[in-house]
Amino acid sequence: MNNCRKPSININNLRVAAGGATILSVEKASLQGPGIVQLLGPNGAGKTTLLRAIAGLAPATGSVEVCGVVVTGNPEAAGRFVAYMPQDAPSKTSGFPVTPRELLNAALRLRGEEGNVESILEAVGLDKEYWDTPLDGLSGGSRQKVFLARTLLLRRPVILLDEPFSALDPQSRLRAAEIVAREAESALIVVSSHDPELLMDHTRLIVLLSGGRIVEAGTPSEVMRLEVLERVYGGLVVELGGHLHIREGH
Amino acid sequence: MPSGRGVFGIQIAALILLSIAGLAYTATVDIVWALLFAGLGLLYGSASALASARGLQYLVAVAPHAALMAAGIAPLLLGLAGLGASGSSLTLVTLLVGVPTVAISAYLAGRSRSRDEVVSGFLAVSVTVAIVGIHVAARLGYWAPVSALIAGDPLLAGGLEALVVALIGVVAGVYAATSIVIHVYQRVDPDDARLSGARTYIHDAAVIAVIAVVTVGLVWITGFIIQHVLLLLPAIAASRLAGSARHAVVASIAVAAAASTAGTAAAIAVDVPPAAGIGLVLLLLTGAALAARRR
Repeated sequence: MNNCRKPSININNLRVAAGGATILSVEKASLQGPGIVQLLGPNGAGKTTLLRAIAGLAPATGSVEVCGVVVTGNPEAAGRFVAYMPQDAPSKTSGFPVTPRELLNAALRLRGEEGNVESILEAVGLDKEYWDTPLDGLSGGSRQKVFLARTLLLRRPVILLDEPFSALDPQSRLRAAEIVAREAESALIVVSSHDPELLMDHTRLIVLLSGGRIVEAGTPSEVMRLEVLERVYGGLVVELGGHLHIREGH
Repeated sequence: MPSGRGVFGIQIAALILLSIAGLAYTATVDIVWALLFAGLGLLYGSASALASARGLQYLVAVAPHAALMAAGIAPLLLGLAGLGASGSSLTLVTLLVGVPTVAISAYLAGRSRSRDEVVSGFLAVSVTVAIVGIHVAARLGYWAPVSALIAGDPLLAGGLEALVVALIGVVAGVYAATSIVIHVYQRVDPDDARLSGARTYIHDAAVIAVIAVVTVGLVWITGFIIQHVLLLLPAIAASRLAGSARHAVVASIAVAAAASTAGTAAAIAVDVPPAAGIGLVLLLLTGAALAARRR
């Protein structure tokens, strides 16, 4: 399946362009696992583009290495080490009946691998009655659980999660965050989120993006400071109960 | 009251009974027709499910027109080559011209950012070429069975052709049943399909091949008009009846087979072309499926 002793991502001179303009530019970055790395930044900062570039899904120049293997623009190479949960999971529809159980089995079958579909569906908190319900009949939150389950099911050393909790209710968010934190004991998990507090206790590194560039990177105590966050979010940062929060609507 | 799966089982059993009744009646009139339309039902049911699972509605629009274009110029090509036109030779030339046309148009439309424009342009070209081909063939005195091209003519298929259609229908049915979840998955999460490293292009080629066969290969038998309906409606009905991909492909095949066999029997009974009976039964079955409450 994969041969990755220590999960890692190394980026050198990465550029991603769209419509003639550079939308992501990262000179150098090194993310070492296991553990959680959070990507923060407002809409259009480049979080999704960076995750897609790491997965080899974005047309890019420069070099992205995952577990020591160059995967730039090569999803087939990246897929040996990377599992990727897309941002649009809550709105994914099939237009043809397909159940969560079938989808997860298909993900395994495409790779010629085996896994415990039922236990992961249970772990992410998808009610059993929905396991055999067509995807199009599920709520956005339930669909997000399905794709979180699919991503974790693949047991990859590097897991990329793009807004994995955005459609979940508070209780489900906590449960999903617990599972992600548990998975981070053995995998390098890179999470893009507008709710950084959820995983903060387990976060090793925060990368702050703005305008397609990394503007700050460090431990939570180094980055989660008012003067640092305000450089990116402006007046949307508020302090509540001793924690910094980024207001919705950015 | 039966459970969702129980209701689905009853619905499929009813469709199978309808198919058997239609098949039995048609066989008393012509065993070749019975074989032909059973195979046709399997083929269209499989193609409809595959096209719907992959979201290839544009191909459902394009492929029958590729068949129309290829069939429209087949009599002219045979005449110019000095070869006699028959059911077999017309089908062969139609396949030789039509299958590459379906493949190329599928590729161009699939890759294009302005898919609707590509499809619209192709439809205009295909209709024009077909009409010019038929007109010139008629002016030059070549045999061009226009009514077969429009409404279909099962008499153009002999016993061997019917057997081939039935066998390909079985193969297509088995392929659709065993691969449908992979096709839906490729539609739902194409990025993960790329990450998987699986040779998904094989499934791409297979689904295009099935759609090409049911349109180009059968256009002289089914007629051009009914092809869009046969490609679209079985999957629509199946999506309403079934709660999973595997059930949906079974339902799509069952609906198409019931429409094909019972429709042919009905057409024989009232002496109209089979395409008319198939269209009517398919419409009734789809209406009933849409009215039925899914579990």
